[in-house]
Amino acid sequence: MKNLMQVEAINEAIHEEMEKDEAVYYMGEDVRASIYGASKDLFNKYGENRVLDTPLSENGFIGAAVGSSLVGMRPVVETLTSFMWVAMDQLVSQLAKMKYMFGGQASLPVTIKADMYYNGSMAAHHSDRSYPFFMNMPGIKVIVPTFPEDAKGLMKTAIRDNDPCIVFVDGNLGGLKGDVPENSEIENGELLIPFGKARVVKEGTDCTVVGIVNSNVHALSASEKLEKEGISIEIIDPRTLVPFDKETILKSVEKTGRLVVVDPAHKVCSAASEIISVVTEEGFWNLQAPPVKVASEQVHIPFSPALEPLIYPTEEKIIEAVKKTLE
Amino acid sequence: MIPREKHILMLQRMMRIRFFENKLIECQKAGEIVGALHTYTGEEGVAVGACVALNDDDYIAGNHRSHGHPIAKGGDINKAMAEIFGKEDGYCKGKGGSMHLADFSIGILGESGIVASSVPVATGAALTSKLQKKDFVSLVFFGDGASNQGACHESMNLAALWKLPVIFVCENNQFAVTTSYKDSVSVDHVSDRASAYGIPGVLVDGQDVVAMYEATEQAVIRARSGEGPTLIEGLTYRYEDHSLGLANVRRDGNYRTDEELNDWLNRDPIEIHKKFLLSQKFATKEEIDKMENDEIIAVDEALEFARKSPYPDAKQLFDDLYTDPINFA
Amino acid sequence: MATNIFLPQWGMGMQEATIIKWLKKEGDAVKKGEPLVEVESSKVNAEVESSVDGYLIKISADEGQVIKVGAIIAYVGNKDESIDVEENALNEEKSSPIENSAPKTEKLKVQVTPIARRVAKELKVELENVTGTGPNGRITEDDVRGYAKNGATKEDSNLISGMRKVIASRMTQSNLIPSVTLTSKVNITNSISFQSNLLKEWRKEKIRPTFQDLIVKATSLALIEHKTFNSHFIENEIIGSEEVNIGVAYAIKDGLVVPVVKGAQDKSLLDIAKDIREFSKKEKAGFSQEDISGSTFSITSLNSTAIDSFNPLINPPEVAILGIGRTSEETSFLSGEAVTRKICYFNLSFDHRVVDGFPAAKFLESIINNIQNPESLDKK
Repeated sequence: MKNLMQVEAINEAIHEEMEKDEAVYYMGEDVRASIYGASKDLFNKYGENRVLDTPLSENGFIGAAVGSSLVGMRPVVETLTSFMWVAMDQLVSQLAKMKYMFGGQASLPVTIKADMYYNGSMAAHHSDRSYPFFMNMPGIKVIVPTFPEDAKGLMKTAIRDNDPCIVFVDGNLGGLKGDVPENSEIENGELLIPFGKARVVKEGTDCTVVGIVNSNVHALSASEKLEKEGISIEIIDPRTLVPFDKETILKSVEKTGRLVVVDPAHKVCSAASEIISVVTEEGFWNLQAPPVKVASEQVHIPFSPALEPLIYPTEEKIIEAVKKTLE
Repeated sequence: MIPREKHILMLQRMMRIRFFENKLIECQKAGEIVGALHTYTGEEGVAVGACVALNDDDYIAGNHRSHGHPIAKGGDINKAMAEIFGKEDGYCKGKGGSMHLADFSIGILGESGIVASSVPVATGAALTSKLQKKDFVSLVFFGDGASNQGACHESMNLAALWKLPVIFVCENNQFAVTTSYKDSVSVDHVSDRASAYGIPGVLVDGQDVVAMYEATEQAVIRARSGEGPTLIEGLTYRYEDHSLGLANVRRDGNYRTDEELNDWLNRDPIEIHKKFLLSQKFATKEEIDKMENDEIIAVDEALEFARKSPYPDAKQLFDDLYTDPINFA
Repeated sequence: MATNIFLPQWGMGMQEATIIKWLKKEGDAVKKGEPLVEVESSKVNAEVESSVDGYLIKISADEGQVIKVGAIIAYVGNKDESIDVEENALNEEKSSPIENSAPKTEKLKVQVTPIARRVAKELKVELENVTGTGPNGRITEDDVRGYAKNGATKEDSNLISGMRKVIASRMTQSNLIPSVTLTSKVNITNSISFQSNLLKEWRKEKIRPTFQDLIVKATSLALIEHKTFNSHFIENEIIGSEEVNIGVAYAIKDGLVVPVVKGAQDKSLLDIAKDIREFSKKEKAGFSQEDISGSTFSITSLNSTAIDSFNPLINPPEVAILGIGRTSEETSFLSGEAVTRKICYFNLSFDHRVVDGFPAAKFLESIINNIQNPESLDKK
């Protein structure tokens, strides 16, 4: 077992997959210099043919990744969620739709590592948390890791997956440390975490709290405070939103009868909206109280440090929401 | 020197596209097929000249005016017709339709309904050729309208920068729906833009299939030798409206004149090439007539095939979305 | 065109009924007036009849289902006719007499958590009987389980819901009435002796006189004099009745019914006793709507129990009700001599909107006077 930061765990995953499969290459802006940390030492190790610095042309190079995947490569593209808007045509019209539209002829093993740098005084253009957009788009797999072990295992699974995967990496979690097993400690010698399998972060009895990315960290600290008041929450990290492990969440709600979903995306049509919808449709008869959504306010991210923190889910908001379900 | 059989092949494929499209126009008017139909009649010289200059393992990608490209590359007109009819035996099992024909087995990476959207994709296929040190090239068709899309410029810059073996073929049929390229392209010719990326830009008479072949051949040689992309502009004209039925739409005035259309009809790529074959004694009148007859029959058979093919079963609705199905129910 | 068969409204206060048993099945030929289905409502087992000749082409209410008055329960039409139920459902809304004419009653909206609903269904708990302890009085799972644990429900509670609901609704209405209860300890020694005397006399009729027979007669006589108490109070109007129709509350399995002694002003004590005996016979067969409607005054008796005195609830729109407690013995000294008397508490609840305490006291006195002079009961 080793203690790694999330960004180190992701870097390790990419190294392992590039080592294993020559079809894997890494592309993005400033990836050779590894300015975001995840591509550290890739260029030194794999050279210019496998680690590509791109022009500032997200639509162009994401489209190139798509085209290269059709004929044999397994691209891993690094970008920021905020820059993906300019590449929406390639992400949606091609990456998401090609396989279906061509009757299954296309194979699209593309992994987009989409960094979300929010809550850092970057204002509205650099603070996007856009995974709900892609949940709404069939054909894409939506990966939302929180803890270093999951980040590594899910990243590896994504690179090996034959369908388009967008791994949404929470920039606030880059420095989050956690235990990651050594490959020698794992049965098959590799950390591969399956999609569509939620992690029960903490067991509890009174209220199910589903957390997306950084929300799990807030939920854990909220849990400690609630514990002192005799309230026990069960924290579940879905880890992937498409495919989505509704069974684990429904089972938990069957036990607790209560649901809070914490999601840093804007609250309207958020991941939280979808999860609450699934639970109310399929787990309605187990509910003791209306589910509560703790998601970002429906407004753009303001620059001022006085305003920005008002937007996102916090430990306090989670505590309040849990108590509301227990009234 | 272009071998004789390639000359013959080019005439045959142009005829096949022409008869295929004319048959579809009949079916559309009879209400037998649904959806949009963008026909390629008049532009055959561009796709055929370009595709015949490629090897079978080279790739192409195209756009919404999508029937000519796969036929030019040697695609199966039975499957193409069945797809346009929305049938199970279509190229895409009825899920793509007219604008999304594809045959990955012979390098047809698919047509795209969003203009210029295929340009980055073809660029990416060329990237694979480079990264894997392969010999294949990729070629993408797009229109004069699409040449104004950012995707075109991003891709040309990227391909030029990385010296990717991709050939950008602009089919300048002069109109983006009803807007003349003269009202939307800032330079005289789309091919003029090549200089901005430091790549060759070639303006070709798209009605001359031989000229298209020769220009493409040069671009392929350049691409395979690792020197990078070429932008070819084939000047051409579409005989029908942007899509069938558009003529019936009430609109303000005519965007083109009968006179202009007649001028282009008098420069029909098939007639030009027929004359060329006869003058070069590559084929006799009888051989050409026989070829024409064979193609008419082949298209009739394709129509029969499409009509007889079943519609896809409802059970297939969710197939092919992911490699391993995800149940969203 | 098929004819809709609606759930009729039998008497006031009937808002819904439970379908007990279909007597015809879909496809059966039916004659006009032929019973189609047994329905339980407002303490009645009644039958809904076909309003036309034809075939029962569609049944739209299942056995055990609770149906609103005015809702379509079946369709009768031609043999091969089919029916678009959805389209008819719209018509049903429009034609519902409840919507159009019945007085609007405020329906209390009680919040219930989904799991509480589910558990209530599993445990066969009627949610309207459960008190919610959650926010806004929301009924929670614990509330339902707590209620079920205290044995408040029976396995077949859903089948008696029609009756229980009517009682619940009537008593809730009753509780809104500003009522006063007057209680008087009554020496009934005379009447008990009189009852014993009657025993021999009535033997040939095969009827055993009861104290209740005497009470009904005594009350009937008092009502002739005190007409205000023989009336209905509806929407601020006192509607008097020439007929003295006395409802006699009658405990049966799972609830109570109030069959009515009709035209008591003209009936002898024996006639009244005969009427009351008929009720016992009907308990098994079920009371008809005729038996239980039209009462102008009610009597409820806990004479056979250990209760001395209680506070009877008025059966609206009546204006008063007489409640009889148990008969007990009491020893008192009369002129230095110990005398044992039989006593019984008479409790008269009356609607204070209609009458005041003094006339009510006079009315009760009148009943007491009649019961203490039982010979007069037999004469009149």
